[in-house]
Amino acid sequence: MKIDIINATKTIGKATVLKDVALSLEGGRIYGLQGPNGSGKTMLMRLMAGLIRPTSGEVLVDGKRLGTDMDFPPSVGMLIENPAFLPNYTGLKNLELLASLKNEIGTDRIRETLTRVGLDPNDKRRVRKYSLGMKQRLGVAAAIMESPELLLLDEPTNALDDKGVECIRGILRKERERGALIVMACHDGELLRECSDEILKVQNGQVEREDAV
Amino acid sequence: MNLPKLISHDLRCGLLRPRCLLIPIMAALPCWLCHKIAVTAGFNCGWGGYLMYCFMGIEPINILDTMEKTQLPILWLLLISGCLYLNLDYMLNDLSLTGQQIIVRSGNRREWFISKCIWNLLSCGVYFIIVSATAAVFSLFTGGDLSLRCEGAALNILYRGEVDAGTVSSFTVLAVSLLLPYLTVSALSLLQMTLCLVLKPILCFLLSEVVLLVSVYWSSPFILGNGAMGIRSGLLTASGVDPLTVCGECVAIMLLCAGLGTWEFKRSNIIGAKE
Repeated sequence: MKIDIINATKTIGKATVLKDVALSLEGGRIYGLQGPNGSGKTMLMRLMAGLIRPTSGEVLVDGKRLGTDMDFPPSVGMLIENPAFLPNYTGLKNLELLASLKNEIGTDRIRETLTRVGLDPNDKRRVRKYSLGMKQRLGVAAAIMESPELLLLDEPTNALDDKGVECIRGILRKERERGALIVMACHDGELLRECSDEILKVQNGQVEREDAV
Repeated sequence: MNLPKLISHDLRCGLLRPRCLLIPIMAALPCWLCHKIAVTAGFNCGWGGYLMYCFMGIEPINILDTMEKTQLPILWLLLISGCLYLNLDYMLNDLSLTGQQIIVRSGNRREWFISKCIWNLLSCGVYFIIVSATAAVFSLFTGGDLSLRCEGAALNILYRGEVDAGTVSSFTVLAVSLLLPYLTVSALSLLQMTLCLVLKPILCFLLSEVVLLVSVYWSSPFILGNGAMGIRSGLLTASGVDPLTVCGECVAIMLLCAGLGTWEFKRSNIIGAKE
């Protein structure tokens, strides 16, 4: 997958949340978004996910324009801000319901993904009984279960313990090897630099490239 | 084509919510008043009578007549507004929660919005079913019959002699106290949901209330609200509002909202209700 953001500016109300962003992102790489709170990292991810439309400029996914040729990228997994699930269903049931929309994967694959993120697929507890960390893991599972070509992860290590962070590291590595285009925002600068092929510095809605160490 | 799956998600998450428990309470108030009137007048009110009273509304008011006391059909407003309030925030709440995952997976904004329109109609349907069930339970407990038919004498007392109908058939009761209010509320609710794409939900709700208030003081089939008042129905009184005009107007508003809403939603930002 290839994403081209061509001079995209986004204004919401009186605030310009993205200013003249020009980027070209390719599959098989991890792009780390670095920047302070409110700098526009999440908005950039929403733009790539098709959740917001640029006020000017355009976003191309494999040459097709988001918003006119398609509403959303055809293969995208995302964890943007807090993971939200149906509280009265188990984690497995939640993922089954989400997966039923695309009908690309079955229960076995979902169980496998749950195990991958460190959750028990046989856990009968409803999501409302989950801890924050478990919800975060479930959010990551929802994002990766269909092996999307574009993976957008906003603070994927939120509320995770060391073991959970290590698990995310492994997942990122595997997904990159698979060829996914991964965009990740994370406040853990060390993790971001360690995992990313390229760092994108976001400041006041503007994006600058910086090669990772 | 993901529409059936999207509708299934909306039915699962948005149809029977805990706040639906408020509906029987709201419906019980006019039923209780109706029962008191029936007891005082010495007749037994049946299911049809309770429903007719719930959606009675108020006789046409001449706002130019300064001698006329200002009146408000509080219970009617409560029942109609109740449904609008219950449906107010589901779409935006869903959009800020699991709905984001759902819509991205569905890949289609148009289908997502159409699904919300269908949910809206079904949700209004559930509201009226619960109101009807409450009236039926009231009828059972107060010794009334479970027939929708309403005796002319009883209707004359309940409607303060404002209508010139004799005994009202089950079909007329169904049309006056369920179908027409349902269509009116569905159209208003869909209008409210569509406006939520560009305005804050509370403003949309207030606008709906303004429409209902205008309808109280302006008897015209073209103002939504009149069609939901039994006392002004053309099926019961010769000078009442034409039910076919009301039906046509409601269907036209619903189609317009679905069309305009889909168009607007195609270019809307999905950033959650709280942002």
